[in-house]
Amino acid sequence: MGWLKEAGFLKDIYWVEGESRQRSILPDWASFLIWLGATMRRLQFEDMHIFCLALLPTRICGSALSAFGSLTNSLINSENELSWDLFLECEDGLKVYFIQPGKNGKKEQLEGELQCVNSRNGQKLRSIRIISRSKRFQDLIFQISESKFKDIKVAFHPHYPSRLLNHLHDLSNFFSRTLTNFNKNNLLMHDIESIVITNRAGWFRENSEILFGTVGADLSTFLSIKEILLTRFGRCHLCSPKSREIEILKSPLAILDGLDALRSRESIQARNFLILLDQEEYGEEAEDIFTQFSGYCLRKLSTDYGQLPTRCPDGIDVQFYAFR
Amino acid sequence: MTGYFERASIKFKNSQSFVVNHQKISDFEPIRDVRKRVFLIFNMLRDAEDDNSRKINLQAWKLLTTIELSILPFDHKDLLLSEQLDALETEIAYFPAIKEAYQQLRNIVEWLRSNPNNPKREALHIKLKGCPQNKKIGVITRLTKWGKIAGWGGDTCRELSCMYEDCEFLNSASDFKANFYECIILPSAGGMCPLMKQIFSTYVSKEVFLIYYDREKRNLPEKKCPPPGSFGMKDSKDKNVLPLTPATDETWSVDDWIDITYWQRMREEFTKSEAGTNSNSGSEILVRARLVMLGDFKTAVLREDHRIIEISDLIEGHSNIEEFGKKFPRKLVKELKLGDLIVMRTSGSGDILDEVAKELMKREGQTALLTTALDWKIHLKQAFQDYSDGTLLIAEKLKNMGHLIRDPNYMWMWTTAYVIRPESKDLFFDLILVLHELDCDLPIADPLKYAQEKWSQMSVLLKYRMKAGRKIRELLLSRLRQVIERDDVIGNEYHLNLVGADGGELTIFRVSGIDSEQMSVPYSRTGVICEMKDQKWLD
Repeated sequence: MGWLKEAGFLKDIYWVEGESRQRSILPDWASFLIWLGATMRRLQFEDMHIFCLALLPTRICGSALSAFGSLTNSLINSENELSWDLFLECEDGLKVYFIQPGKNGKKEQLEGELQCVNSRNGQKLRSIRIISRSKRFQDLIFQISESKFKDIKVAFHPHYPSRLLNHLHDLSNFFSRTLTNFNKNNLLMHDIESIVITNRAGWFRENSEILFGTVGADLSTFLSIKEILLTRFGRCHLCSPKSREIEILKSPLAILDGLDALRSRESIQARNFLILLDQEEYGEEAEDIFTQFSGYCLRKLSTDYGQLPTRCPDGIDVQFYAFR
Repeated sequence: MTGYFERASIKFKNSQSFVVNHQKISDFEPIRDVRKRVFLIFNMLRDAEDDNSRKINLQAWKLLTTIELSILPFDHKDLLLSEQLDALETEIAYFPAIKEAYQQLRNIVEWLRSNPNNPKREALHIKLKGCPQNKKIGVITRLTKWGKIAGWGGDTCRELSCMYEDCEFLNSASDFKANFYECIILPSAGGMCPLMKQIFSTYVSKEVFLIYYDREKRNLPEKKCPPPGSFGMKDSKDKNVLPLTPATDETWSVDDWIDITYWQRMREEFTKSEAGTNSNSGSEILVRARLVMLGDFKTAVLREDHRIIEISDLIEGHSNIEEFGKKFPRKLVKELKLGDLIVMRTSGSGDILDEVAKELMKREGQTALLTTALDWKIHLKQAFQDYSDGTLLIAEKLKNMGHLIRDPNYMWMWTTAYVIRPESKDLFFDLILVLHELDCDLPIADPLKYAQEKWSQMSVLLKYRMKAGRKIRELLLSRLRQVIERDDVIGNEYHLNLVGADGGELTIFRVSGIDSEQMSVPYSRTGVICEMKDQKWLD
């Protein structure tokens, strides 16, 4: 099965490790883990938590691949952009950021507070009161119409300066060559995409020398998976199971890398959980946890959420436990 | 060196083509007969629970295991068959009912010694010769949970190494971390092998080859599948079909007995020694713990939820000490595996504690503290000596004041520097009151004021000793760091001392067994290292 294609990739990815510099096509198991990360990020529903257990011959490099999958899912997904309807429904007082075209084609980023919704000539308008130290903008109120809304790119987080996009040249090139419908702006989103609960030293050791690249690309354009994930554009947060951070951070997907990470699941605030375990570590303790899950989870995952394949690569076992 | 991603790829590849092959030796009657006779003896003593019967069962099982698991010719001196028969004969002297069964057993073993061709040895050599050259082959040498058995010493491995250059020996769980093998050979049916989980689930090889006699106890781990959820994805392989059809044999009860008896005995020994120490006053907190066998026949009971320093990855080069900063990697006791290297404090700080504490006090101008804080001890000793039955008299008075004095003689410890002060403030204050009552010449007329002053001084003294303890621990851990950085070879035990100091020792132990059952023990008994009384259990 073409796991990468299913996850929104245009073509195969090549990998290189260490000094050998020999490039090879990503094996099926690795493509599957990328797909699994992307799928767990895609299956986000307000009324549901999904725990997915993947039993693997080894989980070496597994959490990085799934976090990479989770990231790519957000890069091709445009649902994160604020819609006009949602903008109208947002409560008064909420802080927003938007881009105001200025003189000489320059654009300025402004911060403001949402105010009431009015109607003029049958057209709905939403007011934003500007918060600024600059005298030019102080206490200024903007009336935003639907047509203007699209131009000013309203968001709940500050926009990165556009010059930053130039710095993302390598990353942007990489994804534009690999992903279908890659949205460059999504690379600049602020929200954490995934939390990986893992042994940090071990994670760095495993992932420090793996480079990914595309077919036909020069080796110098290959990117380190570790660096893709851990730059602010990767939006992947690495935590050790005992870290206090895990109680504070909120994320759509938590990737629990190993038994120690599984033990800390109750402290983690995430919508979905992807649990990666070695077959060797799937013993009594883990079995007890998942037997309980099995007893309380929904009997079926509704096909409304999309069809999932029933087969996975040899040597891997996957179960989804969904809870309302 | 293989990179991590490549390692993972090899493991996935191995898991896809993973196959268990086997050679069952079913046409060798003498081995069947040995098992039958041993079972007969075992059956006759099944219900007896005395020590002698237990010894006979153990001796008979050892003989059976030596023969069944051996890959040496049956007349090889390392098997000690003659000695084992003699030992069994001595044990059965008072059991005439089993003499006949013993005699039959002896005859078969003697026959084996005079017809030494070992079919398992032949099968192993055929398999090794058939393996592709320049590909690593792993041979499991840890065949029982209880240490080495006769005939599996260094000579056997050396012989195989000389004949097959690509042969490597796997003796502990940590041996599965480093390499990949074309095939792993297990010269048994796995019934007693503690490494079965590693052999079948780490995928360091795509083939496992078992060589076993048809009646040998089998134990192939079943591949576990997660319980059904809301949706499942499966691979195309049927996981639970393994080539050895599940079977049972009544004679396997001999092996089951040893499995249960071994740890039962260990627990009994611990409980006995625990009763001897009488340390649990009934009020001490009980914790869940496990018995762990350490290196050469030492044991310790360790708290299950305790994270102990475990350095096998560092020693074997799978990780780098720099990654851990000032810390060392730790592992939960309940997750320890055979072959792990754990670090434990094996001696208190001894005299060195006083030395370091004195040094710290000197640096802070508190040189007199050691003598002034403890000057009440001179008066206590004087009182013990001045009054006839002084110890009993003082103990009686303290008892009347509501204190629990189990052993009056223990109060002599309070006169030494080993025990700084009694455990409770009330007890100490009342002790000083008693000394005052007995007209001891205390330096301050008001006994309460004197007691208060001494208690405060002793608290400061204890703080210095605690500081000194921490400093000694830091020094020892820096020694440990040096050992790791020097790549020293660690056997079953490795002691780390502070040069020229009496006391303060850390030991690196190789874990050689872990009880699968937990037990509740008084907190103070955890971490205490004991020598096993019946040391040479299997040798």
